[in-house]
Amino acid sequence: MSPPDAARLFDQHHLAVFRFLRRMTGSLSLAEDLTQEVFLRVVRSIDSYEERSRETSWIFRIARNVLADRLRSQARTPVDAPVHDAVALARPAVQPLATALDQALSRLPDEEREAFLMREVGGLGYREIAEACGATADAARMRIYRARLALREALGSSRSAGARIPKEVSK
Amino acid sequence: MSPDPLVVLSAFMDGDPVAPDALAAALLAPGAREALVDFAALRAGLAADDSRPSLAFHRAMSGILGRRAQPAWRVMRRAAAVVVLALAALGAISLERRFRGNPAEEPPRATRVIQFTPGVDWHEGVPR
Repeated sequence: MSPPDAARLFDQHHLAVFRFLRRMTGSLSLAEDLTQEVFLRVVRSIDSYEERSRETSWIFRIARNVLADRLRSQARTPVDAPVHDAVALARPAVQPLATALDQALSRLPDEEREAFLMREVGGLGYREIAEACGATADAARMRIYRARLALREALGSSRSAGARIPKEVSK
Repeated sequence: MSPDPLVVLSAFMDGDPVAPDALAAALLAPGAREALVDFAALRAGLAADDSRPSLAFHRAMSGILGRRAQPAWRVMRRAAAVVVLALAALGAISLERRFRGNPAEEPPRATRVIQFTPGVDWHEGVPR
């Protein structure tokens, strides 16, 4: 079977990868930069893609590696902390929640945050998350569960303070 | 030992197969309803994200993916070509109808024939 077409993979997955990376970094510009790097690596390594792993797992594993590489290089050369510019672009009605959610997400342990975002933003299942993160499906399930509990606790106070999800958002 | 109700609800949220009995027991646990609503609210909060990469990003990606960017004039030219083709097709259909004639507009076939002979009063003997 021929390897998947890079353009098709980009069309299908770039938005999920971009939003995953935006939530992971808190920065739109950095997420764009990293998403570009992800698909550059996809193009370069598409011939070595193995059928055993699912496309989504493969792409998110690359996204995870790209992010880890960037964080490592930033640790070597200190730069300004990423600006949480996403909030500025959010619709006014969801701004309080967007801010609180971004802040709560940023306080989660990396493993829990990435598993939770792969599930909720990328739409990956437990097995796909496990493949992407090099963990088991049970570990993925528990990471997502712990992330939900932590976010619920963190947002509980802000929601009671008026940052409740607006009706138009809760579909 | 029965599983933690919130673990069951979290797995249920993720579409993981959950035994109906376990789900029923989990939903009866204190605070389960609120937890489920909060999990759904978290999902809705994340789904409200409509951020998209910029045009510059897409231009850069077109280069990486080997796609040629479509300038506006090229798109307009294609749209104009589609309009011209559609008009030509409509014209051809209209001409074909005109030359063939529409069967619905043809006169009915004659049911009887009356001969007109010069000098003869043709009103006589004609049934009314």
